[in-house]
Amino acid sequence: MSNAPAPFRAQLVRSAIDVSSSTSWLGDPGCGAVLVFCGNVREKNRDQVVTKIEYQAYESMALAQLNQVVRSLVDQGAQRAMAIHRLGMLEVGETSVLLGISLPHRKVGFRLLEEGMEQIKKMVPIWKHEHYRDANPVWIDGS
Amino acid sequence: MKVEVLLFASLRDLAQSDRISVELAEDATVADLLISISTQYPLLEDRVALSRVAVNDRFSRSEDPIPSGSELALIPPVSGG
Repeated sequence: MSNAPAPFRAQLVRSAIDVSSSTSWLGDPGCGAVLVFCGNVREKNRDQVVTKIEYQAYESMALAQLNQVVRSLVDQGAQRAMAIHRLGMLEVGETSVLLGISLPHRKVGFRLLEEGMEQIKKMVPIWKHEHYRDANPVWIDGS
Repeated sequence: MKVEVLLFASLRDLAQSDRISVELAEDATVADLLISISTQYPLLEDRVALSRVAVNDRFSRSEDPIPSGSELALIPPVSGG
């Protein structure tokens, strides 16, 4: 049995996502491509000015589902895969989610990264409560 | 049997609680659970129609049984990312 660390990692965090250390972890001598997607809090949505977003999760299941997403990306050819989702209150511009993969070539990587984000948005029980400058906060319905 | 169902997001706000208690038949399925929630908590009915049920951290199908002692959660449409 190999003692090598798992090639995938999933985390829920309550402080700023460290993009730099995530990118370092993804690095691999056999990989010419490291692709990292960061989702940031946007200042406009539904014609409203967003001031902040609170993320709430069903934590045990969200972590299990995130793990399933990154495991699936490795099964499909990524050498390494990492997903981090932040919880709690975030200001505009802060990173709420990071999904990164490394693999030998970029083309498959772009497809896998998109698929992984779609899975996160459909299958991971996390919800955003958007706060607006000119209206009451709203729970956003996604998938 | 009586089961507890965890609530999140809009459902939690509507119920003003992070969980509800639901009375169910011993051989109830997930579909039965959804009907029972709507009947016993009419305030949640509209949102229940849009929600999925998780049993022990996994999304379930409507015909799945509800094992005694399992952790149940009502999952409204997710919006992470």
